[in-house]
Amino acid sequence: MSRTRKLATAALLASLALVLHMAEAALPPLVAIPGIKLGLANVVTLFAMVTLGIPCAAGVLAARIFVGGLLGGGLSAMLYGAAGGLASFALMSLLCRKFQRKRLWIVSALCAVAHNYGQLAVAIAVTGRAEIIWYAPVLTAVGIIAGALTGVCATLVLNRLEKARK
Amino acid sequence: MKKRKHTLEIIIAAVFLISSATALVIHLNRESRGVIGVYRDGVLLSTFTLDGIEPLDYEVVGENGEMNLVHIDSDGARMLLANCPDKLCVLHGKLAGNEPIICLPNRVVVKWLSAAELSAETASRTDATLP
Ligand SMILES: [Zn+2]
Repeated sequence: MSRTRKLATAALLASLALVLHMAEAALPPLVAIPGIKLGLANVVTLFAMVTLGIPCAAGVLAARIFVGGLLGGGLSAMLYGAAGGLASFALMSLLCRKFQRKRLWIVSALCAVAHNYGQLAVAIAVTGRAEIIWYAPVLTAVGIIAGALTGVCATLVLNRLEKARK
Repeated sequence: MKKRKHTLEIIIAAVFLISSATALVIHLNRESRGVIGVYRDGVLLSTFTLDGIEPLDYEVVGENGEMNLVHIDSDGARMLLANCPDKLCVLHGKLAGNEPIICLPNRVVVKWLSAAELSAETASRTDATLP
């Protein structure tokens, strides 16, 4: 892929991630617990990492968190998004190449849990209340499910795209 | 080799089951009821003993215009109003289980006080009223 093409794809993916992020934020929350959501935009991050590589995926993620924070949620959402995003992205860049495409859901589930723990750590630091740790089990369970689902989505998208290119 | 391939899947499934069960236990655990504490920035602002309490609304105001209105009655507490962007604290509903009501944007926490916290709180209050 040429440099220009790569840059254009990354920009397109960033805006797609932002749309998914905003659409999800506009839906009523499933459970009234901070940090519990599907994380649809994660599909785009995974996709970007597999097709464009780590640096481009980092750009896509950073753009989504920053612009997403500007458009809604504000500084606190940006802070939590960055903490979760950083933890999840670090793990994703370590694991992504080690798994076959059909097992991407494992990478995604682990990253979602890392994402939730990152946010939990910031929540404890910001509120100064350690009992927020009570939320760790539910965040683990939900992270595994939500991450697995978005991982399966990423695998499906990658497979479809491969077929379409042929 | 085939067997080793699925170890990770099994571990993930096990972690999922264990964490779900733990979350349920935490939610259903009804220990240490009776006194509710309201915190902002990790500082205990006020405590409320529920036994025989008249229903009241307690307002928490932050330096940057953050506002949370906590409704307290003999049944427990809930966040009545808040000016945070996500309103998750209001949607949380009644204080149930061990999970505290958290308003992350406004850094407000409403929770049951544990026996240890309660005795520490009583001790500090007695110290303050000593001559
Ligand atoms: Zn709130």
